[in-house]
Amino acid sequence: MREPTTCPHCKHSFEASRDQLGGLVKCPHCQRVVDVPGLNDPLWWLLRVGILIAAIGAAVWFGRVEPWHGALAGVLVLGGAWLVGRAF
Amino acid sequence: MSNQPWDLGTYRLRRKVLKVFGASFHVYDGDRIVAFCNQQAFKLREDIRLFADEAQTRELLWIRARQIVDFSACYDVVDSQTQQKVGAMRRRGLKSILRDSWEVLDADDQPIGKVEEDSAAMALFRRFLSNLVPQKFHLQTGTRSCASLVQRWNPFVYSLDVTVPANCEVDRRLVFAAAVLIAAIEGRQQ
Repeated sequence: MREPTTCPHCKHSFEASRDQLGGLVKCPHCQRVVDVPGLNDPLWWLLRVGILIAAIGAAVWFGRVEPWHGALAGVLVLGGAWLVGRAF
Repeated sequence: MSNQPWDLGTYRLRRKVLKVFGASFHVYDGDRIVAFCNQQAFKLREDIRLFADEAQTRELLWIRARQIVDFSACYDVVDSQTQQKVGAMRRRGLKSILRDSWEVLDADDQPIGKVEEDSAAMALFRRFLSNLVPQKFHLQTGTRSCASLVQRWNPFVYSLDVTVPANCEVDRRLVFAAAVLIAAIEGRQQ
């Protein structure tokens, strides 16, 4: 169940639609801009699954030579994705 | 009529050449710079700000994406001076594979218009034969064209000419935001 969004200007609470998650919407009470928290981006979730698969794949591939090579490769892929995620 | 850059009948957006991170655009009225757009770097979600000057002392418009992936993202447009939402622009990802297409939304997220490449044939030509053919876009409400956005031919610097007639039905701030997004998002593909 989605949490209601509270307008920081007039403190009015309203429920933003799924499409409005992560967006800047008009408060239905005071008409000013409210930043709605959350994210509705199925492609982004897909990308994160892809990064996880890439990390596992890199770990398995490089782990054929030495196990610690595989672990390092997996950590590097995940670490890189984490750094990018920090920007969000 | 106020002295805002979007009130002009014609203006040009030109990408700043020497910018390593992110992108910036100057807005010209003839040879005079009337505004400056800055696309912030290292942001997963697009964040574009329009300023009255290059020193970025007075913010005029704020454009921010709701999604991280640009494919079918929606971009909210806010007037920074009044803190009122102007509207939004939604990219039609699947349709844009063959012909760039955007939906123009009002402050309540209701569609009021669309921005599309001039013709499907030219769009396909650009994609499959030559990327050097400049793009042309029309902002339409119903069947009526409200504004035109025409890329200038320049293989080195991206430049977009915008013409907005006096009787344009769409909020001019939204037309301006459409031009900025096309320059920033579609222009990045060039």
